[in-house]
Amino acid sequence: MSLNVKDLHYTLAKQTLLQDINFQAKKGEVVGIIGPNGAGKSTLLKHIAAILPIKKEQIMLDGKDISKLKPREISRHIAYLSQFASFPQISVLESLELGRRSYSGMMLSQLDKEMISQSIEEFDLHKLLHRSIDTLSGGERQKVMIASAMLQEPDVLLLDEPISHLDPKNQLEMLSAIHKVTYEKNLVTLVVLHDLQHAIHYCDSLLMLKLGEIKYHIKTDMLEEKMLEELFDIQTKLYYVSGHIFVYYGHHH
Amino acid sequence: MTLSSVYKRRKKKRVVVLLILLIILLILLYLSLISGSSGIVWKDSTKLFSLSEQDKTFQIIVNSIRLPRALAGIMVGALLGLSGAVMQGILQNPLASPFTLGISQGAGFGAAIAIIVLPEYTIGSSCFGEFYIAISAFTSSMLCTFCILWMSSKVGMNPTSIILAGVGLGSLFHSGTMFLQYFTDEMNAAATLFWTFGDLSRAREFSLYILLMVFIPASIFFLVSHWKFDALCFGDESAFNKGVNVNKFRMVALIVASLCAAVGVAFFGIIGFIGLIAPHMVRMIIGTSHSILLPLSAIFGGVLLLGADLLARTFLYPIVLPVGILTSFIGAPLLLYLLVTLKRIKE
Repeated sequence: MSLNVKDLHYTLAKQTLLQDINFQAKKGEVVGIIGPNGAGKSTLLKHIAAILPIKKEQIMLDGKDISKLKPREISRHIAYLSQFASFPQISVLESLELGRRSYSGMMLSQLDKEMISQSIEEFDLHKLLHRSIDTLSGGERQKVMIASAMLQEPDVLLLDEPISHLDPKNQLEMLSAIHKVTYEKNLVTLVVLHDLQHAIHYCDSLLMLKLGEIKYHIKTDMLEEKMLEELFDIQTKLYYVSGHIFVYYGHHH
Repeated sequence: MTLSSVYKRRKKKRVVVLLILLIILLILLYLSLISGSSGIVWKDSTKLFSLSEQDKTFQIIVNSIRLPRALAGIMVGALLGLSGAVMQGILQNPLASPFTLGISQGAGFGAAIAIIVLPEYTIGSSCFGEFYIAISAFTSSMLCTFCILWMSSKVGMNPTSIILAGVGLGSLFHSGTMFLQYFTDEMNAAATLFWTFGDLSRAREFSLYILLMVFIPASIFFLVSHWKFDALCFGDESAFNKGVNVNKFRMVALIVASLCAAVGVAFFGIIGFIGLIAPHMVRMIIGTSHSILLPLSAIFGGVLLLGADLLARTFLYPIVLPVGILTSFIGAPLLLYLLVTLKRIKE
């Protein structure tokens, strides 16, 4: 049971943004996507979410061809959180309800309401329910967005820089929550991260992109300094302390 | 706070606002029926439901003139309010209104063609002539809408391209109208200009049926898809991921919303600002959830237009102003006032 990405290419205005993308990710696995700006990380996620055009059999989920599905069917398999936060004047409750619309359309069922209620418990959203998204802090908003995404009951969770606007505490909470739902719900989670330490700490494997190509796809504990140096053109040092990897990076002298 | 209590609170708030608006609408309807060119005549209240022969003439006036006019006010206001809420939702732009897609300019051009180029069908004020102008105005404004959609579909149906195409084509149609007016005689130029002043006195029974025939299916379509508008508030990519076929929905919703506005404008001329301010005012009171924003914008549009028409008939007595002049005249300062003072009425 897995997500398969096969022979993905993408060119826009004669510029190659992605080429020869082939990889597989298993359920219950958090895959960190890292790479310099413009490497094609967000573009890759948008292809997997079928937001950007995909060809036949390029994205396969448990043998199912995503390119053949309608948006509502895709929504039930793949949840995607965009990098660019928008803060509409929509209430938290309605944002959660949106997570169930691909199943029920305009009228929510009793089951939907029960699931929303569970999700409120799980993500501790009681106090926010009557608030509107535009009045929430960055951390609260991300929590609501993840909760809404999980209500889609997806097999794949795609997160584009989910912690980039959060303070350190909220960053840790968000990453722990992502980790938890991935294992509990047996998801394939792909998360674009810029913080290498977080990527090393929270991801089971790392997909390293540069100039639209996959440079490495490895288990996180196989990470080597030269890989990061090749990827980012910066001097990198890895330290191993009681089973954990710590990363230090600085400029080339 | 438990989920069920939040649901209850939300429902209660919506029902209260809905009831208040409906009561205001009924009061305005009642006032419209007892108002003539000399203002509100309170003693006519009893005549409305009287069975005596003496009041027959009064009842004929009410049934053949005042009631169709008031119902037209409600219907056209509702169509414009609904259309405005849809356009703002779908284009994610607070300035969007039925006229963003060139509805008014298109309709104006269509009316000018009918009046100036083919005057033999429209001269005089016969019912047929009015209907003929309405058909021409409607066709032209829908043509404008389809041109805009066709052009923006070439660049991915994004809101910016739709709005830019709307502004561009609207201006083209407007200059077309001015071109026709320049080369015609004074009578026809004046008739074209007068047509553009939105006026509810053109209400006829058959035009009400046509409005209703557009309003009912359009409202059902929008209500069924209310959640798609909410999803679009989070951006196109998020909306797609919640299950909205964004480009297709945007196109269909814009066509239906244009149809709503175009049918109103075609029969009654250009009535500005209702489509822009009704959704904004509702949003200030109840928020942006489209399941309630769409129906309330329709009702509020009806309230605004009926109220404006009542004012237009009475405040410059004995002159009866075309309501289109009044809606633009009060609409703009009203919107600015609300923007500055209210911002949003908290629970």
